Amino acid sequence: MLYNRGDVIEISFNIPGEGMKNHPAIIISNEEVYNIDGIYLCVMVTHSGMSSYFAFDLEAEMFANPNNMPEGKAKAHLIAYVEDKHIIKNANTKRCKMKKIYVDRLVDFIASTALSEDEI
Amino acid sequence: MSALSANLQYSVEATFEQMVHFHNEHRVNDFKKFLVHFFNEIMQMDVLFLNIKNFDRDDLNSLYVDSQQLSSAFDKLHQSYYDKHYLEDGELKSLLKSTEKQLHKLANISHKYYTKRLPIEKAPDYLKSGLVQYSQEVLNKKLS
Repeated sequence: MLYNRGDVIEISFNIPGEGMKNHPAIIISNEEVYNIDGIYLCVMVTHSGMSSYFAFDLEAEMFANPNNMPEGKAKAHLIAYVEDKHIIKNANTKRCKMKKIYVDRLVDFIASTALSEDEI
Repeated sequence: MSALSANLQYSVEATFEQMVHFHNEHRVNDFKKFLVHFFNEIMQMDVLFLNIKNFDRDDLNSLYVDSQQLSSAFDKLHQSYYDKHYLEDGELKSLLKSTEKQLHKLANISHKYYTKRLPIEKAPDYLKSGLVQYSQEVLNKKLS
């Protein structure tokens, strides 16, 4: 397993007319998911200063190595499956890791805002 | 004063200061007692949140700020315990985890209601289609 829960990775996206753009993401799945199927579940981080319904604020104290922390906010509804081959090696966020307690908080936030129908 | 502060025996700041004090003084038993008391207080706030739909903008704003502040402060405290004592004391671990879960719930509910009144920020199309492609590629392989 090359990456772990809480690791900040980067994956690439094709912008029509502009080419490829890298975006940071945070791995939220555990070791079992990788051991069984060789995949990671990750939530995207996008550049945004706005507070909005799906936006989870990222702060330096949440990361083990905040110098490389991603800029922007984690977006609770922007989740994808990725494999090792999709993850950019030597990305800017390499060796940046969100601490376990904050990954748990992020997962709670995703469950509350994107995966629950309950208003309360 | 927010609805959250009004339902706590002490202010948000004083609550956190008291926890930090017990933590710094290594008064684990006092810390546990305070946590039990605090946990019971925040458990009772489920009733308060049933009325959240009727809150005006200022009430929602102060509730949002207080709940985020308290949840973040508690996460920091939990993080400091996580390194030193977490695995050594099952009772403390359970108390910290339960309190953290409830605080996250309060912070998330106030976030939902607070941000529902803010402008919507849509994700760009290239990002959405890229995420679909990644997931589709993985699922096609796994389900075939």
